[in-house]
Amino acid sequence: MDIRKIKKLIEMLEESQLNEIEISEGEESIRLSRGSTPYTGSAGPGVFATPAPLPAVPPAYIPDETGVTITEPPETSNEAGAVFSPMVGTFYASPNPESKPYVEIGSSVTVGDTLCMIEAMKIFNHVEAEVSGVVRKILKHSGDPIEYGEALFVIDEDSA
Amino acid sequence: MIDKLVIANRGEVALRILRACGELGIQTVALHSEADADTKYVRLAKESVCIGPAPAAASYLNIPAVIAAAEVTDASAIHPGYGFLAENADFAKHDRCQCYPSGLWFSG
Repeated sequence: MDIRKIKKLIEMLEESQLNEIEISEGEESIRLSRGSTPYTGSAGPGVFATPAPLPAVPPAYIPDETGVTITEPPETSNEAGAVFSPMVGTFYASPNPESKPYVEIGSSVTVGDTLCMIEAMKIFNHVEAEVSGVVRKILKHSGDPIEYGEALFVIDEDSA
Repeated sequence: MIDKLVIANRGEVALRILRACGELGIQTVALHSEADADTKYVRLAKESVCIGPAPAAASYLNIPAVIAAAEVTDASAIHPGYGFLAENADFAKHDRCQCYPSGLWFSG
């Protein structure tokens, strides 16, 4: 792949809101990622070239890579004040479908206030605020499947 | 009949299960810890779920997390591969695992 092309792709990624771009051209494929996931350790955009598929593997064994759904890190995962999911499960914004959600955008919360529930194996686990502040963003809706470490809320911490 | 299977293992073991499922036409969900999010088996699987932090005790050996991942992805089976939960009798006897009709496989 042409170096100028890669440079152009990096510029495209920087200008866009995307976290990752993956492009395949025949034998070659390239994946550009902002590197927002903590384990990569890189702060800026990272470049990962993916190896071409092994020729020894019959095509039937190669799963479709384009359909990857929930592997991409959430966009706001490294935003200051983000509240991360402590477990895998299903997100619930309110104690039951009829009642009001625990918090809404603009709600003030103090340490220990329940923000939401995450259901895993029929057990409802409360996610509590670790800081006092104002809820700026709610990133999930009731019923959404949640991975470990996914950002759920963004809270602006009180400066007091 | 298994239509979707959760792979509760990592690395080469997970890759082999992935290939076997590809041959059999079974959809797969790869489970991974935070440390393994960018590994090959995760990237090859159609779906993946991060189940915990890097230490295995909090991710691959965390029974509630593995079963919850199967629930949220609507999978009907869990394949523990070998090592990890394959060596855990409590996991095989777990209420939810017993619910899967022919669901729980062990290999190795």
